[in-house]
Amino acid sequence: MRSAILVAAICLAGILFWPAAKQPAAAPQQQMDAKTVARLAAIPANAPGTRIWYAASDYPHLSLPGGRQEIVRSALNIRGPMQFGSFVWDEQRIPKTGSVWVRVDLAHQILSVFRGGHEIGSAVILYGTDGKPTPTGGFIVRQKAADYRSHTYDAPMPYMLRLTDDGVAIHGSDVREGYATHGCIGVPPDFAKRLFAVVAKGDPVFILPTEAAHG
Amino acid sequence: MLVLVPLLVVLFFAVVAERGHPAISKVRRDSIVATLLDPLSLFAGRSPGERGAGPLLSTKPGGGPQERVLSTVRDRDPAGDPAAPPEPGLLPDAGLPGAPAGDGALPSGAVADDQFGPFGAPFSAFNAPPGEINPGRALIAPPPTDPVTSAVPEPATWAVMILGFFAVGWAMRRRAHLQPDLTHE
Repeated sequence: MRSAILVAAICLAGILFWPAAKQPAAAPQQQMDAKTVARLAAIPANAPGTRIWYAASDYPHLSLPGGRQEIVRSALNIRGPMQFGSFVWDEQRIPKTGSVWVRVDLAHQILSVFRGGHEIGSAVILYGTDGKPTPTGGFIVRQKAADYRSHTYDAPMPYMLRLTDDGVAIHGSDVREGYATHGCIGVPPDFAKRLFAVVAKGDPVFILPTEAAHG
Repeated sequence: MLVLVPLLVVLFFAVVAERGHPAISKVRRDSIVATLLDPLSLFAGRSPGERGAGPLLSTKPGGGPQERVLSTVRDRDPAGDPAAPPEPGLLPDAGLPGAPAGDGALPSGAVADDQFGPFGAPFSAFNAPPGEINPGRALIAPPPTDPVTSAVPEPATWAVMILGFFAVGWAMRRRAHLQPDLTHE
């Protein structure tokens, strides 16, 4: 009888204190008031039309190639992995003006476009094979062509945003798992159309390397 | 009393599961907030994952692993697509005895070969009296094109080849059986 109670008590103590022990020590949290925490925690995951607004006093900074720092005022509320060929576009309640820049994360196969610090679109991308890798770093959009056909590959490249003189571009592509490009960045055609409409010649595009390139 | 203790424990678990353990829910909330606060965590969370090397490779015969991307060698035929069927030409069909007439008839060449052999047919047919000319039309057979041989054998070819291997194997086994054993006199 006593031993049974003892076992039960140990179990209870374990249940009570074990999660606390597993809690990560000093998570990198900024100074936030309880209201902000409650507001962020209350945002439902993947609810359409919702975005994560950051407090004006404490905008997060993104470090980008070339030593650039950009602030993020709000981000799309996409939680959980996106599917190949899918994308999210939401520019409701976002000012029509503002500097536009694109962040391409090769390691995570994700592209995000920002306007005025607000993320307005994000998609899964294709990028170059190991034999023909996508260059990384900071680029600017050199040329725009909505209906472009590659001479080298004899293939359509709709809504092409050229980044380099040797032909690397962002363009519409059949984004499917297991496929790759010859160095370009492929995005779903519908996304490419919207991106094409938003991005102007001269806007910066930051391509972050894959993990393999890091080390 | 002995029955009561496990019952209480189960009850406690049920309550924790239903309402959420304060410590657990705090950890979860903190992790959610930390994720939301850091855009990089958000980007990582929506990623379909890192690209693996395997899916990009194809081990088709003919030169080791290939990257499954567009090839630079893509020469278009200036004359257009050779696979497209030629325009159907029209030829008056002669009113030959026994030859089917009208639209959708057999190619006139084939009919002529059957009836007259390779040489005499078309001319004799066209030289027939005007009253016997049938106004019906026949399609010209498309011009002969170079046979296209695929690099990959057809399933039937494979089947015959495998059958052949079996036959050879069977013959060898049979031969081994039939061969007299010379090692033991």
